[in-house]
Amino acid sequence: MKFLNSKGIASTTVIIVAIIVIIAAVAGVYIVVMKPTTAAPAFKIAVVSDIGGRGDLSFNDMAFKGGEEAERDFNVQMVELISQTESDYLPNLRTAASDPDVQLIVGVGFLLTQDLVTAAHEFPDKNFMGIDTYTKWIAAEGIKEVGEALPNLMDIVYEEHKGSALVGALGALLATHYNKPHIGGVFGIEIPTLWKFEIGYKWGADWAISWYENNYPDNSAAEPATSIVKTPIKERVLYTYTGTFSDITKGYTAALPMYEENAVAVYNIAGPLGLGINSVVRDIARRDGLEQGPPFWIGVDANQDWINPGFVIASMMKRVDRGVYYTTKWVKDNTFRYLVENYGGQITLGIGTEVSGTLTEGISISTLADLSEFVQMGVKAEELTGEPVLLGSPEWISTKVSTMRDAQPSWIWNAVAELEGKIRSGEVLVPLADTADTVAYWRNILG
Amino acid sequence: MILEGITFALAIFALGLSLMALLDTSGTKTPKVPAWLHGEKIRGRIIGIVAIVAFVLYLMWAHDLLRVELFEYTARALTENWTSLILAASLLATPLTLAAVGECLSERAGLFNIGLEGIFFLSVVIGVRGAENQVVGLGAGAGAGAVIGALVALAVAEKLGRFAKLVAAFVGGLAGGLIGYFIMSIVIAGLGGGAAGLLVGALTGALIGFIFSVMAVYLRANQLVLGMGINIFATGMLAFLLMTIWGFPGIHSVRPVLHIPKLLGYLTPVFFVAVIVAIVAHIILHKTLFGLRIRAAGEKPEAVDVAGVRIDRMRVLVCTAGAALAGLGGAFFSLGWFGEIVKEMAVGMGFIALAVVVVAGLEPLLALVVAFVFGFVRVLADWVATSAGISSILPGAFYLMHMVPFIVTLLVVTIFIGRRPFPKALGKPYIRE
Amino acid sequence: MITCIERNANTEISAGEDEVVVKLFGIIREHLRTLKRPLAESLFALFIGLLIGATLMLVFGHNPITGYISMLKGFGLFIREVSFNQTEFLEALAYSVPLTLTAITFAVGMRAGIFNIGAEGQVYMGAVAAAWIGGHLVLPTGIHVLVATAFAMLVGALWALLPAILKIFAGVHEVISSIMLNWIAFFHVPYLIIHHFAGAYAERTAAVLPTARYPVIGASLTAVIFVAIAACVVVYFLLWRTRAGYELRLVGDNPDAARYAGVNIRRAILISFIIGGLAAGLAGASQVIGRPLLGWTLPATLGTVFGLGFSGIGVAVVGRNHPIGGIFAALLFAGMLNGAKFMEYDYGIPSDLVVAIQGVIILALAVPTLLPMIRKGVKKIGRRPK
Repeated sequence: MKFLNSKGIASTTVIIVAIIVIIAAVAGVYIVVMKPTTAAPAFKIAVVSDIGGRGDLSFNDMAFKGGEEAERDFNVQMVELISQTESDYLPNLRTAASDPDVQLIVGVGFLLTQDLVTAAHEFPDKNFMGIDTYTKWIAAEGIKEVGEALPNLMDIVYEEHKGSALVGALGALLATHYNKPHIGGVFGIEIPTLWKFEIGYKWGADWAISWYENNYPDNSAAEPATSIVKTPIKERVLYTYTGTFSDITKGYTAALPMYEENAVAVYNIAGPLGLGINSVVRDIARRDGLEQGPPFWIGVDANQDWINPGFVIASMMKRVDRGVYYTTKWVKDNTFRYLVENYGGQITLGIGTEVSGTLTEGISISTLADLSEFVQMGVKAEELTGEPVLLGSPEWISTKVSTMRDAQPSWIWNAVAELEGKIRSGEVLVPLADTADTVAYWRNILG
Repeated sequence: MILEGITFALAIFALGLSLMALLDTSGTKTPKVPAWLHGEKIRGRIIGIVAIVAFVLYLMWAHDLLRVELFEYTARALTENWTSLILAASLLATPLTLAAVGECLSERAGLFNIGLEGIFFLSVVIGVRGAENQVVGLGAGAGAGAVIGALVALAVAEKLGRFAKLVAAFVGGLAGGLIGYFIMSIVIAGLGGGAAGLLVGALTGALIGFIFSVMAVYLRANQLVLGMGINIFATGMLAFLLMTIWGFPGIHSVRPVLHIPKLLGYLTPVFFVAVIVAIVAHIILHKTLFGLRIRAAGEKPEAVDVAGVRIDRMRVLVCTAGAALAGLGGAFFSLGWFGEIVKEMAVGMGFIALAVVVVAGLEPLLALVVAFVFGFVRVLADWVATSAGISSILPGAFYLMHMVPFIVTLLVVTIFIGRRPFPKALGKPYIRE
Repeated sequence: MITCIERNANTEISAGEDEVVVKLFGIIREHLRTLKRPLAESLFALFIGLLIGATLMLVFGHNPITGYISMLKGFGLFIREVSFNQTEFLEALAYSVPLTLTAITFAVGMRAGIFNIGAEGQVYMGAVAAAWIGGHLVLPTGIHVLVATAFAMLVGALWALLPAILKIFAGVHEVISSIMLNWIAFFHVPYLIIHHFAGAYAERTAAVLPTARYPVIGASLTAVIFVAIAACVVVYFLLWRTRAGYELRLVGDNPDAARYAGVNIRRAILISFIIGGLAAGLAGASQVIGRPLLGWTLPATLGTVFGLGFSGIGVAVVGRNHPIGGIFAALLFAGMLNGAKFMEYDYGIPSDLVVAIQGVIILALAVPTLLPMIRKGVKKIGRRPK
C-alpha cells in the first residue's frame, strides 16, 4: 500500500493515536459525567457581568459586592458569569437560567437589554433583573411592544445625572476656592449612559457657580482671572472621550493636559482609567511634594477614595450593590413579581427614591462610612491572596481621607448638601441627557 | 493661526530631514539629492502618499471635520505647553525605544520578531511579580544565569566528547546560577525591588526571545506565524495570570515602594536608560566587528558563514538580547509608569514599536528619535482633544485625534521607506548548502 | 457477428463506468494522502497546546481534567444530563462562521506570500456597512439581504485596498499598514455608529430591518453559515482551479519562478488583498445581519466583532492556510472558545486560558517540519546505546 513509506508512518501513527485518545477520552468523560448527581436544591442567584468582568473597581465589582452581601444575609449562593464580549451575553443568560437552582438572574449593564428580554421570554418561570437596562422601552418581535414590561423582568436604573451634578458642584466650588480655572472629566466610550454623567456633571458645576455668585457676590466679583468663575461657561469643564474602558495610557494622556491646564479635579467616568488619572496625580504630588490635593480626582460607581487617600476628594457612588441586594431580598420574599407589575417593570434608584413606601436610594456622594465598607473589601482581598492591596492600614486611610475633607472649607460641603436636598425635594431638576439631540442642546450651553 | 500651524509643520519637517542627514551612516558622501528621492521609487512613493491623503480626506469628511479650527487648537496646544508635552512624550518613548532598538538589532541579524506585543504583555505581569516577590526575582536570576552558564559552557566545550559536554553544562549551569543569584540580590539590595522587577521583565523577554529564535533558527519555523502565536498566547496569559496570581481579575496595584520614581513630575530615569541603550546599540552595530557580523548575517549570511562565524548562535544571541530589551520596556509600564497592571494595558504598543523600527530603517538612534516623535504626536493629539471648548465645535474631534498617530505613521512609512530596505536575509532561515 | 459487436459494445460501456469509479477513488485517495500529514500535524499541535494548558492549570491549582470536560460543553456535549445539547452546538457553529471567513483573509494572504493581518479593521468596516444598509435602507426582502451582504464585502475590500496600494507601489510592509488601518478603523467605526448610524439608542446602530436578516436556524445560528461555506468553496476553486489562483500561489511559493514565468506579481498581490477584504467584510456582516446578537444591532463598543480578525489567524494556521481546512479549524476554535465560559462558570478557571492555549497551538504549527522532527527524535531515542 502506498502509504506505508516512512513519512507516512509517522503521520498515520499520530492520526491513529489521536483517534484512540479521543474515543477513550469521550468514553471516560461520558462515564464520569453521566453519574447521576443528587444535590439538595439550593437558592442561587446568577450575576452575568458586563464586558470587562471583575476588577474594574467600579461597576461590575459593585454588582458582585451586592451579590456577596446577599449571600451573607439571605443565605443564598451566588454564581458568576463573566462576559468577555457582547456575544457572550445571551449564552451566559441561558446557561444561568438553565440551572434549576438559580432563582434570580442579574444582567449587569445596559448592553444586556435585548438579550435579557429574549432570555426572560424563554424562561418565564425564572426571575430576571437588569442593571441600567431599558427592557421596558424596546420592542421585541413576538415577545413584547415598546412600553410593555415582561412579568418576570425588572430594569433597575440609576440617576447618575443627579450624582454627577453633586460632584460637578463639588468640583466647581473647589475651583473657586483654589482659584483654578477648570474642572475635568475623563470619559470612556461615548455612549448614552455616559452622556447622563457628562451633562449632569457640567450642569452641577454651573449650578454651583451661580450659587456662589448669588451667595457671595462680593467674593465672586473679586475672584482672580484664573478662577473658574471668570472662565467662559463653555470652557469650564475640560473633557474627552477616550474610546476605551481599559487602556490606562489613554487615561494618563487624557488627564495630563487637564491638570496642566490647572483643573482642580478630574472626574473619572471610565472605570479602570481612574488609575491612569491617579498616576498623573501621583506624579504631580511627587513633583510638588504634596501630601494631599489639590489636584484631586473624583471616583465613580464604587467608593474609590481609598485608592489614593488624600487625593480623591469624593466618589460618585452608584449603589449597584444595593440594587442586587434588594432584588435578591424581593425574590426571596416573593414580592418580586408584584413589584414588577406595580412599577411597570422599571425601578429607579437615585436620590430620594422610594420603593413600596420605603426610602430606597441608589446614588450618593461617598461618605466616611462608605469608606470603611470598601476598605473592608480590600482587607478581605488581602487576606484571601496574601498580597497587599491597600496603600496602608485602614486607620491610616480613614485618617488621611478625613483630614483631606476637613481641610476644605465647610461652606463647600454645605453647598453640596444643599444641592442634594433640593434634588431630593424636587426643587431643582437635573437634566437627563440620553439622546443625541439633548446632548447637543446642553453641549451648546454648557460646553 | 493657520500660518502658525503651517510654519510649525514645516519646521518640524525640516528638523526631521536634517536629523536624518545627521544620522546618515551609510558611509558615502551625501549626494545632492537625498537618496530616497531618487528615480523610480519616487513614483510609487507619490502614489502611496496620494492614496493616504485621499483616505485622510475621507476620514475627515466622515467625521465632519473639514474645519480649520483643528489646526488652531493644535498650534495653541503646541506653543503653550511644549515642556509638558516633551516630558510626557518621553514616557511613551521609553518602552517604544527599548523594544524598537532591540528589534532593530534582531532584524539586522535576520530574525523578524513581531511578538513584541506579547513580550510587553507578559513582562508587564511577570516583572511586577518579580518585584513583589523576592523568591521569584531571585529564582529568575538564578534560572537565567544557569541557562546562560550552561550554554556558554557548551559552546566552550564544543569540540569535546559527549560526557565532557555534560559535565561542562552542569558546571556552567551551577556557576551561572550562582552568579545570577548573586547579581539579582545585589540589584534588590542596592536598587530596590522595582529595579529587580525591571530586570525580571527583561529576563522574561529574553526567555520568549530565546524560544522564538531557537524555533526560528533550528526548527526553521515561520517567524511571522511564531510572532503572532506569541502575541495571542500572551493576550490570554495576561488575564489568566492576573486572576490566578492575585485572585483579583483585571487590575492589580503595585506597592508604591516598588515604583521607579519619576523626576520633574513626568520624566523617568528609565528614559535615560533607553537613550543609553540606543547609543550603545548604534556603536555596536556600526563601530564594532561584532556589529559588522550582525549586519552581514542579515544581508548575506553565506559570506559570514564562510568566514567561520556561527550564524545560528549569533542570531539566537542577538534576538534574545533584543527581546530582553522589549521585556524591559514592558515591565516599565507597570513598574515605572503606572504602578498598576490593568487587563488591556499597553495594548497596541508592541505593534507601534514595530512601526517605529520600520520607519527608523532599523537604525537604533533613529528609532529613539522616531519613538519620541511618535510619543509626542500621541500626547499632542490627546491634548488637543481635551482643549477647552473643542467638542462644541468639533464633535468628532476625539475620534480623529486618536487616529492621528496612526495616520502619521502611515505617511512617514510611505515617504521614508526604502531608504534602508530590510536586510536581504530577513525572515529566511539560513540553511547551509 | 452481431453478438460479437454487441458484446464489444457492452464491455465498452462497463469499462467506461469502471473508469469513472476508479478515477473517483483515485481522487479521494489522493486527497486523503495529501491530507494526512497536515491533519496529523494539526492534531499534534492541538495536543501540545492542550498539554501546556493542562500544565498551567495544574501549576495554579486547578484540575485540568475537569477543566477540559467543561470546555467540551462548548461543543454541546455533556451539559447536565443531556448528552448532546443542540443549542450549544449551534452556538458553536454560529461562532465559527466569522472565524472561517477571517481565516480566509489570512490564509489567502499567506498563499501569496503576504502577511495580511488587516482582517480586524476590515471586519469592523464590513459590520458597520451591513448595519447601515440593513437598518437605514428599505428594500424588498431577498434583495435587502443581498445588497447588505454585498456592500459589506465591498467595504471590507476597500479597506484592504490601502495596504495593497501601499505595498504594491510604495513597498510598505503589510504588517505595518494593516495594523495602522486596524487601529484607525477601531476609532472610525464607533464614531460612525454613534453620530451617523445610530438607532433609537445611540450606543448602537439601528436594528437591522427584518427584510435584511438572514433566517434563523436555531440559537444564534442563521443561514449565513451557508454563505460562508459557499465562500470557502469559491475561494478554493479560485485558488486551485483557475489560472489567477495558480499565479497567486506561485507568487507565494516561489516568487523568483513567478517572475521568470512572467506572472504579474502586482496583480496577484492585489487579488490576494481583495479576496481577503471581501471575506473579512462578509465576516463583519455575518455578525450583524447574520446573527441575532443584541437585537440585530452593532454596538459602538464593537464587542460583537472585536478580536475576530486575530482569532482568524490562529484558525488559518491550524487549517493550514486552506479554505476548507479553515472550516474545521474554525469549528474547533469556536467550540473551545464557547467552552471557555463553562470552564469559568464551573471551576473558576479564567476563560482567557483558552486563548493562551490557542497561542501555543499556533506556535507549534509555525514549525514546518513538525512531524519529520518527531520522527527523527523518535529514531534518535531508539538509537541510543543501551
